[in-house]
Amino acid sequence: MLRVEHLAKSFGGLHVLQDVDFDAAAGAVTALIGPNGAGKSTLVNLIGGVLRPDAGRVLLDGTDVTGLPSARMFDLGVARTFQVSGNVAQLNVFESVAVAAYRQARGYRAANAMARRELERFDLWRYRDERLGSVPSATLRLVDFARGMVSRPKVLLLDELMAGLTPHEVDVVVEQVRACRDEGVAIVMIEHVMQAVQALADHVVVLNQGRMIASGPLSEVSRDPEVISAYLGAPLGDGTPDAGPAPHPVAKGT
Amino acid sequence: MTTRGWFDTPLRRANTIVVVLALAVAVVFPLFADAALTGVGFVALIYAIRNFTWNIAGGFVGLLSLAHASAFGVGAFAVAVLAWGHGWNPWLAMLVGALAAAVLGLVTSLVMSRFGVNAFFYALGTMAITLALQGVAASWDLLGAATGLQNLGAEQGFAALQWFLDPTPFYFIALTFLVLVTVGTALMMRRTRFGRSLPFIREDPVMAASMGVPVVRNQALAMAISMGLTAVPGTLMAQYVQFVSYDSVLTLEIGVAMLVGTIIGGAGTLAGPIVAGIGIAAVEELLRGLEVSSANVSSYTQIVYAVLVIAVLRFGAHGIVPMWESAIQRLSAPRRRPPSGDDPPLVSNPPPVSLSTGGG
Amino acid sequence: MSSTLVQLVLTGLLQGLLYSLIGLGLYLVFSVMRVVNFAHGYLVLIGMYGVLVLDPQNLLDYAVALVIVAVLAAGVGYAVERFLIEPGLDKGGHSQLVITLSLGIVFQYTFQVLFPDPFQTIANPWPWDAVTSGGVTISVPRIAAGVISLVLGLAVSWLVYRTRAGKIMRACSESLSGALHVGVHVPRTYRTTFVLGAALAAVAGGLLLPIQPVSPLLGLELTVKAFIVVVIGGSGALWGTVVAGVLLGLAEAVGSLYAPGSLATSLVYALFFLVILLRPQGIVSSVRTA
Repeated sequence: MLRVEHLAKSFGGLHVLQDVDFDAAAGAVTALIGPNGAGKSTLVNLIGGVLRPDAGRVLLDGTDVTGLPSARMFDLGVARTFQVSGNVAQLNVFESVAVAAYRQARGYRAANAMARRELERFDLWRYRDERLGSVPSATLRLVDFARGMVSRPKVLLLDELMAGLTPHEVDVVVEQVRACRDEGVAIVMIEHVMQAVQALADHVVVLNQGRMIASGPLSEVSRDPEVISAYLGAPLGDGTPDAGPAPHPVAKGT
Repeated sequence: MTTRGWFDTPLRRANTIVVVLALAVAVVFPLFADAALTGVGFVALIYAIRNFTWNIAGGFVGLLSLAHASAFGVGAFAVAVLAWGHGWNPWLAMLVGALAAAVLGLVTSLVMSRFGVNAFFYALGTMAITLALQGVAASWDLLGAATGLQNLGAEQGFAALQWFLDPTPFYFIALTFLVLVTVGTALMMRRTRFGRSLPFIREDPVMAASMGVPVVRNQALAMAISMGLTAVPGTLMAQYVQFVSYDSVLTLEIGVAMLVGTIIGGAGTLAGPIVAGIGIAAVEELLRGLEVSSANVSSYTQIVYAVLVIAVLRFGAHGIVPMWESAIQRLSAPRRRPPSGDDPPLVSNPPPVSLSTGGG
Repeated sequence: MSSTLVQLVLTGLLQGLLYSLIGLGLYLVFSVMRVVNFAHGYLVLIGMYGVLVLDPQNLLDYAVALVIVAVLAAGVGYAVERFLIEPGLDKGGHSQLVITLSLGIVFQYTFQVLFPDPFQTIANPWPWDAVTSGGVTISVPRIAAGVISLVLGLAVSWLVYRTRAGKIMRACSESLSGALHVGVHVPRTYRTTFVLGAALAAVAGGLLLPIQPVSPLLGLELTVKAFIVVVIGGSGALWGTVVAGVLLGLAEAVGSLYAPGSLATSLVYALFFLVILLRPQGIVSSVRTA
């Protein structure tokens, strides 16, 4: 479904990503993990069309889509969520799902109907008139997720969907992700919450300092000595969040 | 969403009542006002219209444009040159002016996007456009240069868009236009993919793009619509005053007035720009009533304007209309709580799109 | 070179130095506080109208008047910074831009009401009128304005690069969080900077008055010119501002040869628009508006 070949990106001489290479299959969850600064968000921004890679290719169903702008990527079926939604606090829950629904829906009524179905499916309908800034963070993640799913994407990029959620909330969101995976979406998720990685990941890609240091099933990857040393000896898969993201939201790059 | 009526929530009930009352007052106003006061009403409507049309790009999309003063001027000069000078039908001249202003807006926006200009430079760049065009108008004889252009025609009536003694027809044309533009904008913001995408572009262009919104194209389109519609009050004003010059219809002050007027009323709301436009005309009239020397009336009005906008921004409010909405919501809060139950009503942070766009 | 051209170039150069001084204040406020002050030109007007009211009859009076308007503008600057700019600094958005824009309107129309007669000026306060040599005549107030602007510009760069206060200002400019970490009292630095920028603007206004009559509309024109200086000068170093000011002065002087009145102004604004498009990265990335 989604194929990433030898992707590289540097900012002013600093190599943020080098030679990253993996496949994300339809109906499977590919987890991108690694310590902070490993280049995970850059990778998602490269795939989503926010940034253009310096080298390498992104293929969608075998078609080269490298460097297409993000609106075009969305039209082709690559949807995404965002790590921080601070900027959008004033926007309305229903509208944010409805606008994304226009990828599939023709016209106002169809888009609204799709948005309504999606919100009901995630049990969010009662929040429809709220602003994104006034719903609890777990709800916000679900709205973000619903916004991605309403477009019926081929590929869904989830950028730290579970960050800041309680273990119980993680369970709820994990269930939703699993249901969407079963619909045949290729899910690529950046995740620090190991509980979610354990529960969901069919394939794990480990990044460290911009390089891909391991790739495979979690059980295999977690025994890799390089992976263990990258995580400073912290055992993987013990169910506790590892070196998570900074507690304060960081402004999104534009 | 699709099933919302006019009376669903206390806020909607209050808004509906206010809108109906305001429209009724607006319609009967000329019956009770003399010609002079109807003229004031017309000017108030012009202020309301141009604030409103500025708001389409400035409020909904967040493009802080001062080029709208040029749009207003283009509308005025179009009718002066084409109709007064070359005998065109003024309605046709109005259309040409609107199209020219729309093209100006489209090109401005595309060029700014192409060079990745941010909000601050957007304001500066559009200011430069207006000042440059003003300089051209001040030195080009076709546009009246320093002396201005005068309407010397004697024709009256609807086809000539001219009435010499009674401003009532002007008043109703402006009112009709305002109502049409308001309804059209409300529908656009609520019903079309384009309109619904605009607040997302304003708040977070990166996220908007990831939702499939063509950010650059929609910004340019919004500027074109916004500037094109801003030309119309320019034409109407020119017909009403029968005189245009570089320092009457193409000044930076007009652009600033649209910007600050919209902010006072509530940027990104439908009613805010209208309320502020009419309010500022009322302040002008009050100052005149106080027999301030006429040269100073506009000075004092501008000062009141500016002080109001500073107060609005300084004290963290979002303008008159959002304040009204949160007041109504606060009044009705004990009976209707939001579904989450843990967040009190939205006092400090009102929705960007409100009153009859529903979405918000 | 013909003597006309020499005359124009010298005039432009001296005028340009004055523009640099005006731009310098805007630049300081911008680079340290990340605030774009649309009211900057009106601080210059405070200097012009202040000196106009004091109406100095001799050089000593004039010097005293310059000090008085500097202090006056500093006070206004302090109040503006403390009560209008500072409270909204962490809010972001467009509010600073619109607040200073509105403040400019308040100033403009207040001057309009207070000084209804347009284009007033003062008598030459200097004991000499003009210097003439080889067919070139330059008025003494103009020479004095240029030279004093240059000296003040040098003094400011000494302040910024060689003193502790300047070091703190530069620290805030380069990294706000860094400055906070090393214990800089950021609000105090901001106030100092804004007050300094306002005082410089007022002195520039005082120097400008004997050369150019004052009218309320001049405030906007000077604001735009200050922007041109800062945008062309870029964010690199202080001297960029000086170079840009001189360039603007020269362009204006030479341009006046070829294009008449308002069309020349149009050309300046058109050029300004191009500058905005072509080098927005100068200060674009760090402005507190996005």
